[in-house]
Amino acid sequence: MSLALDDVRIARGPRTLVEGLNAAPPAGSLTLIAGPNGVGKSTLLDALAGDAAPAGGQILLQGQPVHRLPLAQRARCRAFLPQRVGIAFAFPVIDVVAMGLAPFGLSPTSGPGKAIVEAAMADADVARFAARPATQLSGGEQQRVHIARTLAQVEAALASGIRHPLLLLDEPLTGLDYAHQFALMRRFARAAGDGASVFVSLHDLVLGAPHADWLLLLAPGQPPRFAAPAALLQPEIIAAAFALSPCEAARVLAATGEMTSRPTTAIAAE
Amino acid sequence: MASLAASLPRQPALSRPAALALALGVLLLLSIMANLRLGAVAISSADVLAVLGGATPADPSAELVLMGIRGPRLVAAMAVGAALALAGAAMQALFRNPLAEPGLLGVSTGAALGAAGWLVAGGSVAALVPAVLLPFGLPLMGFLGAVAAIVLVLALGARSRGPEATLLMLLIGIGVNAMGGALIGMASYVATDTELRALSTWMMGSLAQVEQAVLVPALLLLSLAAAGIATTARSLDLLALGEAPAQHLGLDTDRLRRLLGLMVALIVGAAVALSGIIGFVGLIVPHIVRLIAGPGHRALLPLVALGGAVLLSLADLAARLVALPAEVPVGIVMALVGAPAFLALLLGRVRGGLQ
Repeated sequence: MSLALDDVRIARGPRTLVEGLNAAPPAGSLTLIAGPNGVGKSTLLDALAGDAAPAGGQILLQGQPVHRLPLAQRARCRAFLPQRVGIAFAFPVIDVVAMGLAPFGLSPTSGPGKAIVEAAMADADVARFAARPATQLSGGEQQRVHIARTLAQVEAALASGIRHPLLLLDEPLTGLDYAHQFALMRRFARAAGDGASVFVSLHDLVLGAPHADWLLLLAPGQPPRFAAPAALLQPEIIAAAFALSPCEAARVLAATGEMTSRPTTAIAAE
Repeated sequence: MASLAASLPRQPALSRPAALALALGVLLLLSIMANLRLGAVAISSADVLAVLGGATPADPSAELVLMGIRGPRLVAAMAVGAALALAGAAMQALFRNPLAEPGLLGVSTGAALGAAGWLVAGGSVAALVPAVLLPFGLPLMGFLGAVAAIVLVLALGARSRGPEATLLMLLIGIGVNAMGGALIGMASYVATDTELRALSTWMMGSLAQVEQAVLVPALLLLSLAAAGIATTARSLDLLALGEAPAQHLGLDTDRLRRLLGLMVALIVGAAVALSGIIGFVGLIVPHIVRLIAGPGHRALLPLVALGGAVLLSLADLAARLVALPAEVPVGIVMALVGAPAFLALLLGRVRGGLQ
């Protein structure tokens, strides 16, 4: 199953943020959604997740408008990590991660469910404090717990025979240190390699571009652009999209360029 | 979810939820025995056991006192305590806030308003109601009042989030309580002296006037609602993530909110019909249980029910004994214990940055 965006219009209240968006990244690829603050990345991801209908056009999953799919069915074929998720009571980290298994009825204490939870905790580097209340962790650590939960959900989907689940991540790496940013970006790329269709919004091209199969570039007042990263990582395009001086755009591209020169697969295999 | 952390290595032989269940079970047995034995007339343990076993007690009046007075009252205390504690846990999960409680949010006042309406006006409509349904009149009116209050509270507050959510929730409670209080005031203004007396006992919360006729339907409603809440344990865990993330895990949060609202209204309505307004059970019990056994609702809900039964049966014992031969309304005992606990909880949250 893959996601197809057909002439999508995204609006927040009366204000149109994105218009005329067409994109159909193939299943098993990673799409980086980039653009300056307030350009509509989060609103677009909400629509991709099916939380809200797009203001215009269609977002199709399995050929059906994604917001019309029943909640339970949606939960089995897409994992979504919005920004700023909290946790209300002092649940131990392992319990929070195991919530990712909920749509599948997998037991977290035995068999595949247990393996999925443990692997997700290891990937997000939260296994060390598995028994600690998530509420006592720092902001970055809590974010990693929720990343682990989302990874567990997508892995459970793969394990349940859903070959191309959606993995939607809204600014997942904000507030994390460098080591975890790089490691988790590699992990998201690996999910795409395993068959998931991954959409990650980031404002950091340097971090995201090396792992992206596709780049969806949103900029205020400009039509959205969906293309292979190399086609969009051009000085004038980046300078215009992010309102940078030519010198600043060159510096950003130098940082991404050095890494895009290496194939994604080689980086993912590290 | 029974916490998975319990499955991690380096745990003692008895998990914390299991230890708490054991302790509460012992406390409940002690409370049952004390409740049956103690009172204006003391009854020996041997006689209590004889009556429970169906044998003839040494003291012939023991059977009448136990089966006619103390037994039903104890059953009511345990059922109301368990149900109110469950209702508190459900409201807290729904509001994602440990301070949410039917009393503080005005749901109990709504139920009391319904009950007051029945007490004052019920006599004049009683002729129109089939006789079989009459015992249900009071619980039903309490339920309807609770539903009205909870619809108001949920519509105003359940979706709010962020740092102001606690503040908003408590302010909504103040508003609903004030509104209900004003209407109850009106009802008491037009009430006759007898009605007024019944009304004021109601407002203070007492198990002294539990009527057998009301007891059975109320117990039925309480068990139904408790079972309804128990089926949602897993969903309540997911709700801790917030509404949208819970939906992303497939949880129909709108349906859950309606279901829980209905169950809480049933509990509060039936409890108010039995005993009047008893506050703070739903606040204190879940808080203590969460501290000891963790927040996972699959362990929390049964423990909370057990804890509620222990707390209210002990509070009622105190209410009966402190001023012998008279007695204090149990609602007042609970408020004396609960209000300071609530303030301490609130202060702890203010210090931790009100959230």
